[in-house]
Amino acid sequence: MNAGSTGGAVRSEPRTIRPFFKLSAIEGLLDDAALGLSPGEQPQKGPFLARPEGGWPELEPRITTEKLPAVRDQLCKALAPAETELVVVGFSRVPRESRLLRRLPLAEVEDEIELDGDVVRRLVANDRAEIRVAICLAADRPDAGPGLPHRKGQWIAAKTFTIGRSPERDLFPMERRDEEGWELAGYPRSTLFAVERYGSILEGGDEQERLASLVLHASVYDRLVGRPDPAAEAVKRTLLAEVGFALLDAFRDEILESDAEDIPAGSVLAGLVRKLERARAGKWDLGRLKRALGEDPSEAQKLRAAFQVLAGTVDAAARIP
Amino acid sequence: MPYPILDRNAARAWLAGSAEEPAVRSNDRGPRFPWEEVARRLALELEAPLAEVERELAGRTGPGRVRHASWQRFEAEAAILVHKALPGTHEALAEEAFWLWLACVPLRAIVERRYRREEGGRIDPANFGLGNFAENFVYRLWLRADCALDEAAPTEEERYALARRGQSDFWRSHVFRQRYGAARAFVRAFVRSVYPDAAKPSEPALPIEVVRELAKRLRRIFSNLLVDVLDEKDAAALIREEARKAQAQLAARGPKRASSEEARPAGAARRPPSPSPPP
Repeated sequence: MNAGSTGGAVRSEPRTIRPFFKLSAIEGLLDDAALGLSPGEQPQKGPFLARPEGGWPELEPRITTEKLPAVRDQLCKALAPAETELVVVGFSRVPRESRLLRRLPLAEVEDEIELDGDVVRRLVANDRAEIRVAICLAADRPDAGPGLPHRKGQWIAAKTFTIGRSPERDLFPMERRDEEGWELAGYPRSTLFAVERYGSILEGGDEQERLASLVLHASVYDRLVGRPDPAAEAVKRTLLAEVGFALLDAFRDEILESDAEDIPAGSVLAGLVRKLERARAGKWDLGRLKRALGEDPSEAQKLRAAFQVLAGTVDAAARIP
Repeated sequence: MPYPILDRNAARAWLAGSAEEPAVRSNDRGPRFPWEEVARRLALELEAPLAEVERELAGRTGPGRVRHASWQRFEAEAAILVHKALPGTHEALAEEAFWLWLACVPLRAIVERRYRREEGGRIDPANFGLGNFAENFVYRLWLRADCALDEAAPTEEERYALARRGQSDFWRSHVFRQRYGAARAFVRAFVRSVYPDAAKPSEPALPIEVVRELAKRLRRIFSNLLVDVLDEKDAAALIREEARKAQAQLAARGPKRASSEEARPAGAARRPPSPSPPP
């Protein structure tokens, strides 16, 4: 969100998130790490590892790094007197939990780090899991000074592997629903569209299986999808504009409860805001979005208009013969 | 061995009454477990605490019924009952469709009685997990107990003691919706810090604004800090420090909010007017 709100240099993350500027040169130290899950398989750098149908019959999870062991001793010396360790944490979306899989002093890291197979099996039972390897402080360092980590657990370098279904997943898939389906879902039978929420607009696309679904009335779906003629295109663009607003409205509670510092640059929301700015649809910082989704009807209209600009509705309508 | 599952479309059809029977299927993973029998017994166990709250709420309707403070006691108790009924680990627990089956079929009446605004009224399907899965009421109960479980405690009562603490909105907004809420030791320390008095399990030790500010600070800290490397003692120290900073930050900003805000329980999210639900 800083790209929209500061007007100055664009940071990769809000200024409160990565303050360890003295160690920024080694943040990528684990970028070459690779994760292996099956026995005998070549570990993959990923960061995405597809979950095979039916899961893994056998698990022998391990992480390999090439760069780190080579520089380990120099790194320990450079970071001294800070105590540092390498940790591996696993996260499972359902049931929602994270677990420490391995930790060892940095000085003892070799090129292969074995993980507990039983614990990893529990984590990857879900269709979306993460395994994160990081170099962290092993103890508080209150005298660290600016630009350096000072709390136990603060990471210096990290890499996250995502394990789940194939990357062909669609973050915002379109579904077709007939009149009976609308009624079953509790809507009027002739509902044109609905945005049905699944994930979080404050997370990145890579961090979640699905953000939301766009459900479209079957007869409209059949007449628009795959139709290239100008009239169909104009209708699609108009619909897209409404869908954009409906998507933000579906996540209204998350947006209204957030502060600018809470919205990572990689989140879906930050991405949408950048798109609106690039399309010259206005400057939409978090404060303005909150007003539009909250108590200010005129801002709500302007937000709708911003999505109309982003969707190119007027241009598409102008091409109707 | 098979466990029952219900997909979203089948769940919708069943809840809307257009299917005579729920289209339950099964998935064949993990050890044998008597799912249907356990779910039936669980529904019976939940009956007494549920009926007690319903007696207290007799005659109440609308949002006031759904948000009444009496539900806090029920949810604290129900969380423990649900968690004790289910196996500690099983592949079924990792599948959304299993939780959908549990909420929509054997425990459907429990969810409906918890969330109905009036007799015969429509229940928001979100409470069954249709929409954002994480809102599935039965899953949320189980997750509350699982997050709070102190496996090192000597008795079952002590193991589940923390699950009784905290208001539902606190668990929902400041634990389940936060990534730091996935780290069990951190959550236990967080619950103990905000709800330190076991005799007053729904009364936070900090004002609502401080809890909100604290949650924001913890969210930001999570970006740089792997909370899983902290044991409960380390986590408690971190949370204490951040609570002090949150209080100082709010004090520096000065009094901004009306007194009606202060009366709201800690953890209750500010709720904008909801869009009309589908009829």
